[in-house]
Amino acid sequence: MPQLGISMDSGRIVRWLKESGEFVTSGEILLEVESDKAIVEVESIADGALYVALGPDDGDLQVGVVVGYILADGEEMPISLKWVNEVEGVAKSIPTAKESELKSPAFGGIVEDGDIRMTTKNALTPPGYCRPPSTPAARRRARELGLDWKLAKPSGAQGQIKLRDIETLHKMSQRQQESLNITPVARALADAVELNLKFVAERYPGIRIERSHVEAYIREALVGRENAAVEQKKTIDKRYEMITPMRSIIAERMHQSHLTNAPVTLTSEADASQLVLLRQNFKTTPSAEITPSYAAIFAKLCASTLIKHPRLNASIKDEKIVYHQAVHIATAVDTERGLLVPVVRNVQDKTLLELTKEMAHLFQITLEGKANPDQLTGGTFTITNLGKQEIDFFTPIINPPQAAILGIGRIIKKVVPEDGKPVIRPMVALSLTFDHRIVDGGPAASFLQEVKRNIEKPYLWLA
Amino acid sequence: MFMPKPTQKDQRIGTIREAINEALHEEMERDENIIALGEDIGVAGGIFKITAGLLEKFGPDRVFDTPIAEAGIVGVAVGAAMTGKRPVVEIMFSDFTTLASDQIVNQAAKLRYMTAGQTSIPLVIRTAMGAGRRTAAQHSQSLHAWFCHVPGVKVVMPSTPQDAKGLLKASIRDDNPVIFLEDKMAYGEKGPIPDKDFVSLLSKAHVHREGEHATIIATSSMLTLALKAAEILAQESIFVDVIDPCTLSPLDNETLIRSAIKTGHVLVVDEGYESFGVTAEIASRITEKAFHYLDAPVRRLGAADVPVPFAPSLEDLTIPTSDQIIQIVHEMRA
Repeated sequence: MPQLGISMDSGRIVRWLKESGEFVTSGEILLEVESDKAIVEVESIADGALYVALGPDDGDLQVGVVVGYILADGEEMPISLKWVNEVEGVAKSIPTAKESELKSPAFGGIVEDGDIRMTTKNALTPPGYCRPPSTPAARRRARELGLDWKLAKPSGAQGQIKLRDIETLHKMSQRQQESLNITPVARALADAVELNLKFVAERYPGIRIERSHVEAYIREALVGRENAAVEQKKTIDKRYEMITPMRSIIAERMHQSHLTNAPVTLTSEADASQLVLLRQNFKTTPSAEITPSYAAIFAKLCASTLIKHPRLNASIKDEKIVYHQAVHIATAVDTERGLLVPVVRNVQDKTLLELTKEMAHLFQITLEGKANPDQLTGGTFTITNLGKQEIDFFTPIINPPQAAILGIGRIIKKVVPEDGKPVIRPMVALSLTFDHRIVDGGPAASFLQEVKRNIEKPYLWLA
Repeated sequence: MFMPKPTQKDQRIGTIREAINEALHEEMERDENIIALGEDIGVAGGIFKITAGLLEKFGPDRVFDTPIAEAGIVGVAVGAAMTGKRPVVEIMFSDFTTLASDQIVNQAAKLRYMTAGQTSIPLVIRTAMGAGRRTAAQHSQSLHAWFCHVPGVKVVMPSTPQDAKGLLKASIRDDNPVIFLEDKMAYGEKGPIPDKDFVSLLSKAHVHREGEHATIIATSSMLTLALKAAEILAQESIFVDVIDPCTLSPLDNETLIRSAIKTGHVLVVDEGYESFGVTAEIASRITEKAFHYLDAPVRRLGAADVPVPFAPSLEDLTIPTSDQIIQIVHEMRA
């Protein structure tokens, strides 16, 4: 499975355009792969006979998993057809297969103590075919008992389900049924109040559940519920919700960021008087079409600064630092679905007014959940603004594979000294987290210093 | 099927050699049409002393010392059988049956069928099989599988004195050609020999030991190894059926398949070569009829697929052992 994007860690095969046994040449398109962003065609990197190992039915595949082989003339298939013929001594029958090949999912075998154990998939089963090894006796017994033999836990030396495993399964299911030994009246009563009889059975283990037991259980439950309601008032309520795919992506990215980066956060405060004044002037000028948003102002300001500090507009890929020529600003937006980062591209080439319009539209469609993946990925630098929530300083987490993220706090009036006298100025809190693997403290500090200066003297970058 | 069992007072303890000799004496006494032919069977009493006393008792008109010419011996016997005699031929070593194979395969096995029953061939060919006697590659083979492959010939392999006596009598009384295989290393094996006129049934397997965990089907002298293995397995609380088919052709399928269905684990042991052998045929029949009851593949154990070496240490390695049987039973149950 090739890595088709900087942050791609798994992908799905959409289809193979070539078949096993076909001769392919370098540069020919072999298959289509779908990652979380797009469907991409994958080219052959060599000449030879193709052998397809995995297909669309194999689902999500980790980057690096062998999906097929290109065999040079005279080269043997990595999977020997003889190997499944005799389970015993298979290790001997395939002296050419390397251990790493045996371990690959394509081979379907795992090596344990130098001995190959059958797994649910082996080389001769077609893709998507999944039938655990089992003995005829086991399958017949399961059929007699009305059990699904695949549910049995295999205990055979080759990982096969044996007759005894079906008997164990049978005993277990019998025990379960015995524990639900219930009179018809009790069952009807429980059904009427939608009570799961398993709980009643657990309350009265080992005896036949009668009507009186169910009634007693209901009474206990009602008392318990009242007590619980009282308890609930005393303690903090807990609410459970399933983790959404969105939340799990956020969790994964944030965790990945935390694991791989070397984050350092610098903080500073800037006098935002000039920015506030700038916006007021726009507002009070009747001919002005719109007032630039703070989001657009900070995006443009950062872009102008980043052009001079390319290390902050970089990312790490394959042991190399990639410097991005253009500045694509990602902005953190809280949505009902969770945190999203819509990206404005080529910020350095756009005017404040253009940016204000574009970002307003982008944030709107992001909140509505209508933004497409292209509008939500590809940023080179991220701005996160918690000003509305009355936050000053914080420690933002880098959005990988970017090098840095700028956190902007609220603009609040503070008493600051000016020429030895206390004056009141609107101040903005700045928190810059950078990846110390890419940037050292010095350059990062000078970047933040310049951001501060640009906030205080907008003419420096508006010009 | 009825299986006659001798009572305690009707039997004595004796060897397989004695049992066969006794059967020959009793049968020749009973029916004067029975004649004996073979190399050194008369004056010398047979290379393994199986025919001792026959010449003295029944005279040269019924007991013939023949030239060393197996094709001729069996040819004469087939002709005699067609005229109403009931010849019992001894071929010293089963390896030499190859010399008589045209007489056995193309004549004895075919004539009753090709004459539409106008004649029958009540012929018994006794011959010694098995390795372990340090007699090298041409005197140690177990080639019975070849004759099992030919319809029209019955193949009988006793493993105990009682079966040897009862089965030989039954073979002599059968109106079809019978190849009667005696393990040359087992002639001295002791066991009860029924005194009275004891006749076994052909095509009836003999269950020697019963258990629920596995089935060991063992022919001829392999039975002794199987019973020894069963004894050791029983100490581990693994109880096995030990069955001797006694007659390989026609085979008592029912007894074998019933046992396979009961235990789900079957090992077939036979001293013939493992490849394309009797073990494979039995394994195949069981797999076809008891498939849904098998909890492991049916396993085979036969002689190593090599010419039997003369070096004793190497020869011993070619013959199945009870340790191997125990190991395979463990493997099947794993």
